Formats: sequence, C-alpha cells, structure tokens
Amino acid sequence: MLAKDRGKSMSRLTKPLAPLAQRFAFLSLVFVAFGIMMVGKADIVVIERARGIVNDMVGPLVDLAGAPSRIVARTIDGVDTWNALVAENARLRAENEQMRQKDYAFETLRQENALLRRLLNFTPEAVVSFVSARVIADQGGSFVRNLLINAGSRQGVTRGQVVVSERGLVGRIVEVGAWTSRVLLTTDLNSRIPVVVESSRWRAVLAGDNSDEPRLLYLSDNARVAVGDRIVTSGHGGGFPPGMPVGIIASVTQGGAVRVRPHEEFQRLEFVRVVSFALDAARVIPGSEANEPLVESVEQPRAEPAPALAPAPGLSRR
Amino acid sequence: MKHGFFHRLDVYGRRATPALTFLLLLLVGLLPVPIAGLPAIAPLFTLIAVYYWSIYRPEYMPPWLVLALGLIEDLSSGSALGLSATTLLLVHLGVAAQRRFFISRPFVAAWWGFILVGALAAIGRWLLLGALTGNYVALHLAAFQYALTLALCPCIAWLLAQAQRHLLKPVDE
Repeated sequence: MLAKDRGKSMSRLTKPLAPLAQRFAFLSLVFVAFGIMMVGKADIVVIERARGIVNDMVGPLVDLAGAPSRIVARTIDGVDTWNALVAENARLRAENEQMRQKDYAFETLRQENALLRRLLNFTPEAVVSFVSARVIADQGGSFVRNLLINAGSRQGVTRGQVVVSERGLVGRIVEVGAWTSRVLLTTDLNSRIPVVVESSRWRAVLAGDNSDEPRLLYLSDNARVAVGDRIVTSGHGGGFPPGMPVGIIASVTQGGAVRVRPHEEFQRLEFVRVVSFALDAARVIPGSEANEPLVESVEQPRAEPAPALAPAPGLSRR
Repeated sequence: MKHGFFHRLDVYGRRATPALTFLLLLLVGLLPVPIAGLPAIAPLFTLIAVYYWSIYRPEYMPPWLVLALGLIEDLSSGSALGLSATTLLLVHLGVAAQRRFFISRPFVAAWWGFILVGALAAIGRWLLLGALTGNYVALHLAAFQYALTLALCPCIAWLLAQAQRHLLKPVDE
C-alpha cells in the first residue's frame, strides 16, 4: 500500500520524463542482450563456468522430471521384449553364430596387424580410458543439438573428450560442470569432424547443420562415393581418434552434396561413454586386454631398426 | 497494515508464478523424448510463456526478468549465449506495447497475434543464429518448430491461465 502511494507521488514528479526513461531503459536492455551475444561468442572462461554451474543445477531437476517417462519407455520396451522373446532368442542365436565367426576373423586380423605394426615400428595409437554416463537431457530444436550427461569434472570428464556409444561416434564434450557435462552432437550446427570414406580413403569434413543428416564438406571432386559407404573419423587434427565409425552415406545429389546418416539415433540414446584417448602410454588401464599390444609396442625402443620377418614375441605367446 | 513473514513470503511466491512457469516449461523442453525425429522440432515452450505473461501480467514479467530468464534458457540449453534472451526480450517489448488490444478481446485474438509474433521470433532467431555462427540451418526445421509451437500454444496458454487464476488472482487485488 505504502509503496503504491510512494510510486504515485514519484510518478507525478517525473511524469514528463517517465516515457523517455522507460524507452531508454528498454533500449539499453536490448543493447545489453546484443552485447551478451557478442561476449558469448568470445568463448571466455566466466561464461564457460556459468554454463557448467547452470548445467549442474538443471541436470538433477531434469533427471528427476524425466524419471516417469523413462519408466514408461522401459515398461513398454519390457512388454515388447516379452512378446517377441522366442523370435528374439532365435535371432540372437543366429547373430551369435555370425559374431563368433567374425570374432575369429577379427582375432586373426588383430594378430596380423600387431605383427605388421611391430615390423614397421609403428607409432602406437592412442590409449583409451573411459567414463560411462547416462543421458539426462536432450536439447533438440532447429537451433541446437546436444545432450546433457550425468558425468562431469568430478568423474574426470574434460572439455574436448570424445563421446561414443556402442554403435559409433556421438560427439564431443563442450561444457563441463562438476557433475554434468554437455555433448555437442555430430549433427549440431557447430560440429566439424575430419572424416574419411572408409573404403576409398577420401578425406572430408563432416559438418552438422542441425538436421538429422550432416553434410560432407570439402570432398574432392574426383571422389567417387555411393549411398551406403561407411564414414569413419580420420584422426586429422588430433581431436578424434582415427577409424571411429560415424555413419553411412545416406544420399548423394547431382550437385555433389553428400549427406551422412549417423549410426546412432541420438534421441534414443540412454547411455554413452566419454573416452579419453591420451597419446602417452602412461594412462593405460592396467589389465585391459585391448591395450596390451599397444603397451608392448610402446616398450620397444623407437630407434631400433625393424626386425626381419620373424615371429614377434607377443604373437608366439598368444 | 503490517503482514506477517509467511504472508509476505506467500505473496512473493505467488508473484513469482510467471517466472516459475517459464522455468517449468524450460525443464519440460529439456526432457529427453524417445521418439525419433521429435527433438528436431521441439516446440518453443518458453516463447509461449513470455508471450502470455507479457499480455496478461507484464508487471510480473518485466523486461529485465525476461532477459535473465532468456539467459538461463541459453545457458541450460547450450545454445548460443544471448540468442533466446534477445529474441524473448524483443517479443516482450513488442507485445507489451500492444497488450491493450489483446487484453480486451478473447484469447483467440491473442492466438492470432501469436501466429505473427511466433513467426517473427522464429525468423529472428534463425537470422541471429545464422549471423552468429555463419551457418544457416535448414529453414524448414525452423518452420516445423514454429508450426508445432503454434499448435501447442492454446494448451500451454490454458495451463498458464489456470496458474494465473489460482495462484496470481489472490495477490492481484
């Protein structure tokens, strides 16, 4: 009441100035908004911190709010699986058989690869360690494509780390809070990933445009690509390890525009892995089967000339 | 007349209804939806909230609050900082200037207004994002998003009207 009266007397005093002041205030707020947009573009530490803090606050809320939909989705999934159990079982058996054959071929290739690398004194690839995380928010829209996951700096996640699912590349960490971080999907407008066409080794850059199928840029005019060709990361620039599956070519137009369909359906993702691939052997996870041959090749002195065609010690042991 | 602490807390809480509904709609927009293709056209819920409150209760949705809420949206959605803040602020300023026209008419008039305002906001956002990143997203995605927002506008507005009636009415007098 009192405040209202005070307001009235104030407005009587400043009546002629009020509209002008109000207009000035509006205008300055608009300028502030534009200013923030310019500052935001500069990518400064304060804003990065602010993003991390807001993510940490929003994360648990979204996680909680999303619980019912997750339960419903899982229940539907459960009922579906129950119905199709027999068919599913048969399919899985067949798939398992195929996998076993593939596994055999894979093992042979792996050993051959290890041998050849040893012969060439090949610089070892990155060694990986990873953190698994759950997707808690999914920011879609025509303006942005990213995910919020429930692992942050406390879990060892850092900016720039690569995020994958069991099907292939998902994206890259762009913001890190204490308990949450944001993943820029390969489909986002700001995503640029150096890739190669797996079979023909033509290089290109995979550029997101917020649609479901990112484009291939800078592909040579001489490159022959076809729908269905597999696209993998090239490892150029060091942001991503080479050979990571990204997607397949979905369409090639007359004008040469090539679009890639990612292996992963990002909106159905529930869990992801945040991978750190350090270029030093110091970060090997001890006892990790997959890392063993790489560690061995690190231990070999680099200056030593490549040995003649003789069975490598690692091979005879296996 | 002096009121007790809890009464004042109640009044402030009720006056924060517009801001809280904005934040609630922001959270809803962030929820993961396991339906293929839907995130590509997730509706702009918060635009509806700003539009509604700018017409019906601008005193509880002042420009500085719109700016602050827009920034929270930008930070929590990971989009370009200031993008939502600027578009929402411009929507608010534009609508607040014309609110007398809408307030004396039924909601349908406001919905017709939203067709125009929503289109301007979507185009404005699209242009700003393009200018900021140097890449223009496919216009049809923005158009789908706009259409979905338009279709959902009456439902969201109805919910906001309920919030206004039950939470804000008692502190209006």
